[in-house]
Amino acid sequence: MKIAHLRKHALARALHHPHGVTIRTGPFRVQLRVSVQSLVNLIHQLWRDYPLVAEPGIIDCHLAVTRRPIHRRWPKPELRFLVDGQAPFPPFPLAHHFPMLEWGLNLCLARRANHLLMLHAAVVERHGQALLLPAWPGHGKSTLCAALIHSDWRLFSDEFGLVRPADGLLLPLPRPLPLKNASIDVIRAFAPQADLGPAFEGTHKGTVAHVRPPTESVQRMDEPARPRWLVFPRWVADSPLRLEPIVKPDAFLMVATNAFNYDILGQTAFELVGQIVDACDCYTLVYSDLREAMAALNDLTRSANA
Amino acid sequence: MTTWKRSRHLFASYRWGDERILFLQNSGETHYINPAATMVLEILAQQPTTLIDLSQQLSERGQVLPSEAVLEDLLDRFTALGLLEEC
Repeated sequence: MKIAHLRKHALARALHHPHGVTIRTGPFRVQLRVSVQSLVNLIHQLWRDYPLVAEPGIIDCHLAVTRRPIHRRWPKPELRFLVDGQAPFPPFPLAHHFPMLEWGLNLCLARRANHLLMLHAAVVERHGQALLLPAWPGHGKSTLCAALIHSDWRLFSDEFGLVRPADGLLLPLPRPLPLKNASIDVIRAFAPQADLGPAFEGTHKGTVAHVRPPTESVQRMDEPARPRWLVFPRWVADSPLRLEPIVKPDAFLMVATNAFNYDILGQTAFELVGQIVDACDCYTLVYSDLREAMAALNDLTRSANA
Repeated sequence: MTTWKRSRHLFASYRWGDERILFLQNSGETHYINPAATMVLEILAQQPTTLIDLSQQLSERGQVLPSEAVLEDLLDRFTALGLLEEC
């Protein structure tokens, strides 16, 4: 059974329950309690394809989103995000409930999933081969990722490149994609079929709207893939398109310094990054026009498959 | 006269062309090693070597020689990292 199989009122009742609901997203089990109806509605829309977990097992994150009691010093309604009953960051305005849930879950996974190497990268897959897009915030990886997953690529993640140490394969973690500011309208124009949630204005990252992960990507979230291309994107206003190969030592250092837990995993991380760089064709991509960038990536990956 | 040799500390490495990336097990640090420095490490892995012998071997391998001071700085740096030992 998945979230979409529940009616909204049944999902709300389950999320209010002291044990909440447990869902699976990629390799993780997440238990969630929520007491805010407007957030329940968005979970019903944007997490709709996540399977509900009924059987007992290890839970990776116990999360709760609760209203902060109104106080004369905090007259505006606020929400607290709790992990194991503790708040890892200050309350958010009530109106920013879904971004808070998504950022909070990302934070929880980034701190805990040290049995996997976590690259800071968008990852998409086609024909069993994965394209990794490691980038710093603001370099346009989420925009590219959103465009790719509405153009025949399967979503692995727009944020976490999960690498399994046992075999070096990439694991999917298909989550809602947070588009920011101008990229929201860019994706609305590029992929009108994309299922976007509401725009949340005034967050600490500006205006944010989430793209629902495609149903097929969630249904196939147990299918890993091999890394094949490393492309480091950077959006630069008015720049001509430049897709240029880079040498592997440079690619190694860019991937390693951008990973969430390279230092924690030590030599395991070193060996995994080396295997990925060895296996991939490595490029930098500077772009300003999304359609040009998509065409270049399609040419690159199709020529490799030809 | 000081002689340097490869350290007993273990390291893992990837090599692409003349460049290497090293992981030092004693410190957990990762380092990029450029082609000239890669050649220095290879020479010192074969046998303990003095600065003069090292310069000569680099020259025989066609390497454009840095000044003696730069080469000595490199050896000191590798020693500090735990890649080399003085003997």
